[in-house]
Amino acid sequence: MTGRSPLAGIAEALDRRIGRRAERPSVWPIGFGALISHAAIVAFLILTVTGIALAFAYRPSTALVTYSGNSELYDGTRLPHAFASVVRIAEDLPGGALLRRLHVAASHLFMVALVAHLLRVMATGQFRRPRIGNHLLGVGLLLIAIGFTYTGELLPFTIVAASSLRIAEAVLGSIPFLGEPLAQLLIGSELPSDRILQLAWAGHVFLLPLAFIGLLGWHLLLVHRRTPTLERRPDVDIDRYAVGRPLWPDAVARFALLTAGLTTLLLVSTVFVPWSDVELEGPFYAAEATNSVHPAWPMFFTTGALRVLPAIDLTFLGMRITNVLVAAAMIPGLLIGALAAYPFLERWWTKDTRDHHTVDGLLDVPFRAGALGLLTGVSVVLTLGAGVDTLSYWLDTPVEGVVLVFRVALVVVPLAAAGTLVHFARRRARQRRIAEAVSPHSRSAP
Amino acid sequence: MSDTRGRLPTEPTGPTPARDAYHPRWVLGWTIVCGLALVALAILWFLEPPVEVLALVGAAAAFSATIALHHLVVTRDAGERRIDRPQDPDDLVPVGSRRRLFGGLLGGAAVLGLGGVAGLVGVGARRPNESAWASGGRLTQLDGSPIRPEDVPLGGVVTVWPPDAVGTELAAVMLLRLRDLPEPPTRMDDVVDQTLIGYSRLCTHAGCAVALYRDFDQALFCPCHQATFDARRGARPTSGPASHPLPQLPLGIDDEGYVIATGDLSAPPGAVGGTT
Repeated sequence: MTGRSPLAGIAEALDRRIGRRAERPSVWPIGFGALISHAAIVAFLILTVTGIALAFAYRPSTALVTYSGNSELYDGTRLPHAFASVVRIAEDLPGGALLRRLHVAASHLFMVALVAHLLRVMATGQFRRPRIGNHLLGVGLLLIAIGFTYTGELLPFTIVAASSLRIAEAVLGSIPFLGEPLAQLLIGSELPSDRILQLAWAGHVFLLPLAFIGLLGWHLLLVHRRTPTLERRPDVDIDRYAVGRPLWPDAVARFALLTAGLTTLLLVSTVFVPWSDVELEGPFYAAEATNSVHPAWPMFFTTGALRVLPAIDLTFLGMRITNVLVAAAMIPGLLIGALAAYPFLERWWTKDTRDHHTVDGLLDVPFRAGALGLLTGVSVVLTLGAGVDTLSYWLDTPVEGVVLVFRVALVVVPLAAAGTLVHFARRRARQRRIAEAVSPHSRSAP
Repeated sequence: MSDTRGRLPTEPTGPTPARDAYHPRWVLGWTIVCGLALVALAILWFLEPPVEVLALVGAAAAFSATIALHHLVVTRDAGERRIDRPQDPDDLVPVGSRRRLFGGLLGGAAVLGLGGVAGLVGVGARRPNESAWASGGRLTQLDGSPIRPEDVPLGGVVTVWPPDAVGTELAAVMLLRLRDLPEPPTRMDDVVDQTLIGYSRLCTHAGCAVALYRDFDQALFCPCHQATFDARRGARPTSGPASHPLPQLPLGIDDEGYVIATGDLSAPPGAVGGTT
């Protein structure tokens, strides 16, 4: 009996498909781009490990229970069960506070790395044929990540969570005809409801992780199948060949190194930054809802839109278009939709249907530079717009004035950014054409 | 650049510089440190030390692993591999099957979407048209006591509820004592004691609590999205994203001198929906 472990079988199967014995072995580039995207995966690993541990002690219920434990602030008080279970994790369970801080710290790293990866992919044209499908998967991953952010914020059922629920209810309700039934389905007839908390819990702990792991696996498989993008270099014809480290052991070792390094940084950060002090936010009581709340920063662009956009009240055909519908449903939908549609748009505008395998410069394609300036400008102004109240406090100016400045900026900044980028991109294209006319052989690629 | 780790495919192989040499004992040593730190972490975990101690011991383990792995990655780099690009992605995934996948996804989404819409229409309306104020009654504070006009000082705000729904979010009403006489479009018949006026506490923009009353310009301010309402003029929006005034509560005074509601709010409380 030669018992072969199933692990060896899996290793061999992988080796045949993507390893050394595959027809096209998998290669993994090193460098800044890999660092960004792999950091997101590392953060997801840390989130998974800490999240599984936290999930065991969390209770998704709004029912009031009497908390007794180490927290002096809440000992003997009646709290929503969800909030009480989070206080118990933070104060009474061994290592719970560390797990919570690490989970929140890793969630920030996760979103920063995702957004940085998205920006780099967009700016360097890595979304083009033959990777359009993979770009769409990436947009799906971004949507799931935003879902993680929103549901994760609801779970402790703090006053912030309850306020963002109230806003979510308004956003659902602002959708003509379908909104009210949708709210009835997701939230129930009145807030606060157990149903929405249990839905958020099921999403955050089961559905979203499964969806994310599935899409991430597909994303990485497509990176392998389509071969990685690379910057132009003198010694390799990037259009015909891909170079990189083999998956095993080099790429795996580098990934493990990044994991160890980022884990070190996140753990040290928890010493200096409490990251998530749930006691300070306090539990939700319906009667005492007073709120100057900011959601998690990945949701700032919707909050900013809700704050910066003026009052809107258009009624026709039995529907009413309000500020909430435009700011929190239409604008985010348009932004995400523009991200997904952009590769097709650029292909149509530039009439460039060839395959591309290179990491280009930001200014190589004027249309892309302009579109990126526009999208980034809108997103940045809306994101900063979530802070009009804080800015008004810092600057000691009435908030109405700050909002007015942001309304102007929402139009001016994206247009100015797009115009500037297009101007410089065109100048660069002109210079390149002149250089090519002078010495046609200076081109490094066909 | 000698700084470039690893070998390019075209580069000749040869002895690596001494500073890049692999030292197994260095890796082994830091691996042992990492293991010891992990054991310490496991023991400390149940001794409940301050969270900072746990974090630093964990960071020590992760940092030792970082040093060991870094040495491995730098010195044991096998160099680059080169593979051919797929010159035509159709070799890998035929365009027909990609179209089928895309069409399948779109079709599935369309079927699910249509089914969802049909299902939603079946769910029906959510909120009743009347609030908990419909039956009227004395204005009740959070501690359950009724309120008299003289209990609200000049420029003061008291949050009140219907007697049978104290503490609920939807029915919360702010009872204000204005400094100046209210003006239209305020419903003047619903004001008592000349300057005592009641507005729903839920913002008509996104349903947050309009938690702040600015006495100097007698404005109600929602801290969620900075919607501002003029409390003297029917709480009509003066600035910010709200488009509708706060619903006003018709007030009266009963025989014992307590403030009562004489009817329902002038509009359903909360965010204005998308269906008229």
